Amino acid sequence: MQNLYEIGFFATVISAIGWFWLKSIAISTTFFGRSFWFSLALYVLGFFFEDVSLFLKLFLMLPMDVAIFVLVVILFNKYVSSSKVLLSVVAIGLLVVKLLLFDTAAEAYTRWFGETTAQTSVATPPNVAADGELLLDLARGRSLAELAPLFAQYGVTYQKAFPKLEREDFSDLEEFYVLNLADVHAGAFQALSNAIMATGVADAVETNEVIRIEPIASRPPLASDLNFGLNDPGIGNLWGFQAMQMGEFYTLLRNSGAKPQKVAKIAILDTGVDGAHEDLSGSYASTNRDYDRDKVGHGTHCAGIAGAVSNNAKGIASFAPASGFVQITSIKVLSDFGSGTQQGIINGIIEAADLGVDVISMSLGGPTSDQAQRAYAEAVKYANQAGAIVVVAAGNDDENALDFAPANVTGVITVAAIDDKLNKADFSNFVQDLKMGVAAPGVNIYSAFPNNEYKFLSGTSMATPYVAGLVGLMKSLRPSLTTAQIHQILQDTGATTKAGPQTGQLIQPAKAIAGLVNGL
Amino acid sequence: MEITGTVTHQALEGGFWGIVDDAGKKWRVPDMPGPLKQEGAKVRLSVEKITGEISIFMWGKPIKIIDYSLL
Repeated sequence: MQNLYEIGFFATVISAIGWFWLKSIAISTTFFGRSFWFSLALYVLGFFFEDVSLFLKLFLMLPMDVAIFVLVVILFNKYVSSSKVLLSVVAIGLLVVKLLLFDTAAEAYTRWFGETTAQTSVATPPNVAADGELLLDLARGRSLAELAPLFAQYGVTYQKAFPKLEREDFSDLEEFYVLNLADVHAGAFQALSNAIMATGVADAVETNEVIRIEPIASRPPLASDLNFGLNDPGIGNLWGFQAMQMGEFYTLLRNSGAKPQKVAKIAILDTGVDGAHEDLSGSYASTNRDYDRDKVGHGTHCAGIAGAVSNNAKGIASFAPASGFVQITSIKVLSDFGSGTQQGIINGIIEAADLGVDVISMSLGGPTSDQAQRAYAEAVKYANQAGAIVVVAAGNDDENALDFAPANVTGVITVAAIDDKLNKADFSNFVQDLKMGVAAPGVNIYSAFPNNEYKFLSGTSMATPYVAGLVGLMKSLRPSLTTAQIHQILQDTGATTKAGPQTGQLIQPAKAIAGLVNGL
Repeated sequence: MEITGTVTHQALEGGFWGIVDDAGKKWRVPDMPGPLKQEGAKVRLSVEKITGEISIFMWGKPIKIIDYSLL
């Protein structure tokens, strides 16, 4: 029934032309006569069932169809003898409008008068980007031109999803396109996705998901008397430092005389980072001024955990014992309203990789029924090829992280959260079914907040930058380390939590770097 | 879809509102209506499921409330 209206209309016009022409040269018109009535019946049925509002049908489609038909009748009727040049021009013009501009006209009508067609009764869900609803992975050897009829039907415009790729050989991301449906068809993105997959032109079509975050709030502290030989006044709030035996870690670094082989860059992909924060500015490297502000606070909190300046008599400490080991940078992938898209996040991964960062820390994610996550997987592959290690939060749903993305993406290290009793945090997803799961403190974590503030937050988002910070230090000591090698070290040297495989091994920084320091 | 359950405020990641339904399933509400922001309130909701949403909270299945009543 989908194209009945169009088929009926053009069959009716062609039948009428044939009927009149044969009649003018005195040949039997029986076939075209029957064809005309049959086509007209199809047209009426198609018009009735066409998925467009009644207003558009009566005041745009029907008058145009009747006008075209009347002009055709006049043009091919031998009893009309006047000049037909003008009529021909008008008929051709109307046909062009109908063939090429109808969707645009309908869209403009909808925009101006607010009426929606039946297809828009299902609006774009809040989790799908309104401008660029779908991500398409083009199959090898196929062309988007093959989808032209579908694109015309849904008013689709498209562009390269990840145009900033500098190294196309690192992944298949150059084959991804973002599709934007015309507003009148925006709710039909799932139907379009199904139709595209049926053609075989695409390997995959994914919704361009929206990332959203919520306002920040604080929780009361869990205090400790230890200072680990550092003068940062907030260090007593870092209960996780005891669990990770940070005293041994700092002692090993001091006594071994370990020198960084490079300044490892850790990119925080989040809501931005307040790069001017008193406890971050000494270790923060800006790549884009727009990324150096954080109206939400989430990104700044994560940045402080990963790389706050240690022993500067301000705030807290991190794995970086001194300058020269790690730098923090920010890629702002979420808006000031706390939302973003899967496409935006993947572009952030690409941007970070192209900047040459060593670690990408992503404290974001969510439930998914798609365990393949092709676009994310290609982006992580791209980052890995560029030498970056990708660290991702496991999720806060007390469920299997296998059903969360990008926690379940091949090539990432996924981080579960533990509490101060070394139990799995009651909210943390479990990672035993993932290839590279580890654990870090994630309950009541004290860290930097915009405008030189500090707050306690909980979540696997907080556990993730602990691992990212340690990985950054490891890359600083041994830049050639791969994701698999780093995970193996964390696994072999980590401590078993009370939840065992559910959380993976709790990172033990001193043991993790011992082999690297001794090997220098 | 209809849900009957209890409003809960979760302190994770800074805090957000959700619903734990009578079967124990968790539902996150990105835009919780003001009148429902009461810890422990019993509610009956008409909702739309938001499939596939990714959020930093990573808690529960996201839903959009169409209609609601406090019980």
